[in-house]
Amino acid sequence: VVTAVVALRPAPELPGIVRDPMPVVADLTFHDHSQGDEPRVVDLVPPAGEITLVYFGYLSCPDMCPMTMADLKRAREQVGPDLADRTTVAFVTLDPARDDPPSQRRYLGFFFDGDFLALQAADEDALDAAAERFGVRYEVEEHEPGARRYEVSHTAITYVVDDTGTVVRELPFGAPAEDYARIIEATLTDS
Amino acid sequence: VARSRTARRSGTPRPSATPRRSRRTALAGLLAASLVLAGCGGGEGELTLSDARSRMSPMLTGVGAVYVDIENTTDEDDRLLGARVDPAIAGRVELHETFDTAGGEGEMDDGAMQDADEDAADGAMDDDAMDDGMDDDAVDDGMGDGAMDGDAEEGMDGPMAPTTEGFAMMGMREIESLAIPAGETVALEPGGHHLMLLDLAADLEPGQEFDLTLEFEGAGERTITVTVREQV
Repeated sequence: VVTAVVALRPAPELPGIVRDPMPVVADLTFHDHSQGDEPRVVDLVPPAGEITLVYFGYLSCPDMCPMTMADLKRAREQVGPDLADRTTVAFVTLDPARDDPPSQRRYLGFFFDGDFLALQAADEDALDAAAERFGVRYEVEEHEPGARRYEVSHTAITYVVDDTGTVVRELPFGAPAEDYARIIEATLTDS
Repeated sequence: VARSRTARRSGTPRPSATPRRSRRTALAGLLAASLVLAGCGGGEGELTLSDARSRMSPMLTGVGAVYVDIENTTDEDDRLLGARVDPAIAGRVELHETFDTAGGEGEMDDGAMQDADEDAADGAMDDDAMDDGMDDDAVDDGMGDGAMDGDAEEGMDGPMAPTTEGFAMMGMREIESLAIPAGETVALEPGGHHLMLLDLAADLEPGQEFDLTLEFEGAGERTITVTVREQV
């Protein structure tokens, strides 16, 4: 489809895709619970020379989300402490009804030793706005209010956000940890 | 793209997919000889279960996933009907498939989804869980006006390949059974089928082992030892 407004630019040198134009997410804010239950308002823009790896998922996901987190953990180990220190994983929950701050913090702490953001959108509208900006789609299975058992279908993509708040690359679920490591190395050594 | 997706969904021999999957399939063959479990006496060939593994569960969310390779060297089709585990591990085990919402019925061939439930096999869009909000409008709203050309990228095949509608949503749902065709190896693996552990009694720690009993239509009950790993 040559006439598409948004097209993908082939980027054969690295895994994943690059959108054209690249989404800018610098203005989006979330409540971070990585430091405690009291929310901190944060954006996704990392300090200069660093990157944020943003993933939208939910804690009750038994398959894709922990798989991706484990791959990111391994990728951070593979690139070594210097580059890992400049890489922050941000997990935005698509299931705030069940994913309370303490659980989300402990879940991520299991993978990332405190070097993460445990993010909740301020409300459903804010979550939907963020999802649309990133190109995330999700669907919560119909359930009774208060139910503990339901599924959330969602795109399972890791977004690389650079220090200008731009999504410079994205990698879908299923890539080996080595792919994430290559992207971390390439992005950080470019900047 | 559709070809790759269906290939990865099925348990049949698949073209080279991601390294992870190719490795897994090769591993299944290698391990088959050494990890044959007792049982299934008589007749030609047998059902071989290998590489049974579970991801550590960090979560306090009470769920986990078990993966295993099932090789059917008999000349009889079989079916995996379910599994059970000691309540000290988990309250319940369900057989699940991962599905994506990119394809309609046309993209999913008969071999792609192996559950017994014909309704469920007709395509992701028919599932009750996905009825609400999954009309075309919702898809358009969610994806903006993006068009993606998945063929331009390498290594982007499979369920998460970008399509003209963008990346697919993926979800999971319970299925009643899983076909284990004669002469084939069906790999339960991330992004495909898994046995979901529900109501975990405690977190699963790397290195921990537990027994899981699988129930097959033909081969009967088979108990395997599952190893908890950090990476599956």
